Amino acid sequence: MFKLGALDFSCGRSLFRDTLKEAPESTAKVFVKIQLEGRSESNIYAQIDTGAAWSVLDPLVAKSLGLLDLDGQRTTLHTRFGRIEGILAKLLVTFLADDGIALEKHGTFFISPDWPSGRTFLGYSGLLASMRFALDPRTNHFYFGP
Amino acid sequence: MGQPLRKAEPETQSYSDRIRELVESDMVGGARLLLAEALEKGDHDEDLSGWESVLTETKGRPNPDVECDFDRTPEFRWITEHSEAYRGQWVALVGSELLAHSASLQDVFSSLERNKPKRRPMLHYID
Repeated sequence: MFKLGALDFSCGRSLFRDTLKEAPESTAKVFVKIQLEGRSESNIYAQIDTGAAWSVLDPLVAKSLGLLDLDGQRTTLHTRFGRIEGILAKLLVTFLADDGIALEKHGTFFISPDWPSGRTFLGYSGLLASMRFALDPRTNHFYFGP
Repeated sequence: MGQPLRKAEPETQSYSDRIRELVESDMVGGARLLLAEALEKGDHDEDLSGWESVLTETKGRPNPDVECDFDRTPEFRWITEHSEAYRGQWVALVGSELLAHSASLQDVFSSLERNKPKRRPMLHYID
């Protein structure tokens, strides 16, 4: 694993994908493996988006996990798809490791039935800003730690 | 001549509404500061626990009990090569082996329950 001086920088790493068939993009992005709410049937690839304040959950995934009707903080987000109403709710995210140890962390997700399906994003302020992560684009390794 | 001093006007909006405005403007740092101010003052008649929940940062923790995953490149290759034949269905894959497929995710779960795979399968809906 990565070291920061004598300390551990990361506890695990996984392979990330540049593209996903269900979320076609014109340029390569970073899709990492996560699990939601500790449920193994919820393993998905989510796109790292350090430019976004909040993480956003694919409404199809939210529906399949029974999270669409979650009691959260109602809000409206200004997105590239326009103004979308939904809720902000705290979910348990597990960054799955191919090597090392998985990292569990609570993150704030925006959940709305009006968000286009097929896209789950991991945003900065409510999740990534309070953990360590690093990318090795030569090997497609995503390193993460508490 | 000097400018007349502007008298500070009392805040008429609730903390909750002001926090929401900041959140909706992507000013998360400002929303956290305002929430902290509200919680410190504590002399308001609002339930801010919802905002407290979503705005509070939590530290992650490594969990050695979560089973390690592995390189899923063979699964993605399989999906690319076979997606036409399984359109509209859920598929369960380990490597390039198709374990179950159905239009119903529940049927795929049931099939996996009957024949438990040695490694965690990747589930994918081919649309």
